[in-house]
Amino acid sequence: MIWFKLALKNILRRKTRSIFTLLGIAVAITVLYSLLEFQKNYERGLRDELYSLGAHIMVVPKGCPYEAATIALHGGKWPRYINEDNMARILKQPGVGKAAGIIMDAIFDREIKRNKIYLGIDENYVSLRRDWKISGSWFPDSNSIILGSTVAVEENKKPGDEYFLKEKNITLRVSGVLQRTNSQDDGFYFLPQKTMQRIFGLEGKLVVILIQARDIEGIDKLTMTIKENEKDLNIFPLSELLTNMTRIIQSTKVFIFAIVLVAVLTAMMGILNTILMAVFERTKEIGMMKAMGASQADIFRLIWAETVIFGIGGGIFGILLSVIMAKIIAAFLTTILPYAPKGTLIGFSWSALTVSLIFSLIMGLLSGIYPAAKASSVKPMIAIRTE
Amino acid sequence: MIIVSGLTKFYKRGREEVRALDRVSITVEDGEFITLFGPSAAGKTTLLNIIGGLDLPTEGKVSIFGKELTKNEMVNSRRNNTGFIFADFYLIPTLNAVENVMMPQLWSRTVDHRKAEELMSLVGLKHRLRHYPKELSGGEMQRVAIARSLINDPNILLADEPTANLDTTTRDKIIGLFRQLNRDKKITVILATHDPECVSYADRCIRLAYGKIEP
Repeated sequence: MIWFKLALKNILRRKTRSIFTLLGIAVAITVLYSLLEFQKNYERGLRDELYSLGAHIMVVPKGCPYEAATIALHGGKWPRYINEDNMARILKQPGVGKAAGIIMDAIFDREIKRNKIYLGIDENYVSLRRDWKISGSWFPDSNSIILGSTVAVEENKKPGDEYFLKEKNITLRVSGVLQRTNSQDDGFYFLPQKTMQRIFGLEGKLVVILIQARDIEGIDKLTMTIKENEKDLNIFPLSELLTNMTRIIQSTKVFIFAIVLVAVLTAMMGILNTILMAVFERTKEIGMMKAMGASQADIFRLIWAETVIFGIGGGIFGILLSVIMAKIIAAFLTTILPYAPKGTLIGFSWSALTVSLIFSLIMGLLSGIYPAAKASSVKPMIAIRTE
Repeated sequence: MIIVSGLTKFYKRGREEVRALDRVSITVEDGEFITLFGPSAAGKTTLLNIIGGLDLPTEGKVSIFGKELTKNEMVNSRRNNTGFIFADFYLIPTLNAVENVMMPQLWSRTVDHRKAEELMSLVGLKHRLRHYPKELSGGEMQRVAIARSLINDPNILLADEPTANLDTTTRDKIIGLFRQLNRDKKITVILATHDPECVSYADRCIRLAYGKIEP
């Protein structure tokens, strides 16, 4: 105990210097922890969102496929369309099990200061969404609307209520409210497809077609066939999308790892500098310890204990900082990525905590080697004479 | 018994070579109280450091209880044979008095809180156990340093100008404490000093000047 107390008290002698050193380590560990969490949650979130579509193949208009995928998953306005003729042709392909065309648009609401996403769907869409449960009923007529669970709460609407779409000056009746799906659907407004096309002036247009293959083994063959027949469209299996998205993240990860590396090296230099200065300041004291019987190994261990305390302390502080600042860090990371799934991107996990703590321990151990060696090589007689 | 024979020590000071000790030979019997008396730069500290295993001689040898003090034996000798006391006390400011006393036990892995308290009691500081060095007077700090030097039950106490920073009243008390330890615990005391008043307390006085023993 006195050993630990001695090391801890040595650190606390120079509070300001120690706090800044600790902050340096904390920042490095915050970046590392956030990266680990983000990496894990991003891939899981992306996979969940793609699988929740209930489809194997996505068909979108020509253009950036990732932008299209983002629109298809999170909704939005994309001024490129697919004709319903394409949909009719695709449906005739023998390998197609189910297919659903979707039209979507977004209207910016000045009051809530964000886009409201409207989706025009038909029964085919519901057949892909096996987990859908509607409180109320499916569209009984063309002037109906189904609200996602989050939207229904925000709008304070229940089945039977009127919904006034003020931008289009039209009143619709809420026929149903979607029970929570924990997917992007919770935040959408669903209209009958023909109604949506009429109100938004998009007759005969679709934004995305989702295809479920008749059998999984036939996905690649079906993709090739549709590609040959629909040369003016982008067709890709969702597994390919997942792979490509993950690959983009991998390349981003190299960049973020470079940031982690710089932060870690800077923090290690901070520990090294702080402890080395402390060793120089305490030369007499170290000499006295040796005079009292401390061996080289004892002094090495004492100085090393100080750097390890710095490492572990900074690590714990860094993890706390990441959890507290999770939303801000996640928001920053999503701005530099082409696509980010919804949900928690940085949270708490034992695996990230363990890796971060081990990393901070290694940081402490490595950066302590030189100051500890320097201190342990102090000659007691010379140290005591030092002014 | 401590046998110092033909001890010579050279130092480099820039390009100049300084002869700190010149063929010094002394024998100290067990339980003796010796003063090394002489002016500054006489070689007192150098001789103490070599006997205490803090430094190696250029020539000659030191034998303690029949065992030659080699480079490999220095740490063990410091840990088991000798207790050091310095003019500047060298207490660790972040540890309280009793923790400072226990500090040498860290290296021998035998931390004994009760023993440290007993030693604090022996030096008359039982009421100052939890006080930090900055809360103690010079005399009290030196008493703590003495208690610290005794924690590993040394056979030899080496004190380098232990009263240099103390007033005369405190000096007499500290020297009296050394005398008491020497008498009651049969500890050999070698005390380096340039204060002629201290000489009268010792069994024997060895006078040093320019690195040599004066007759």
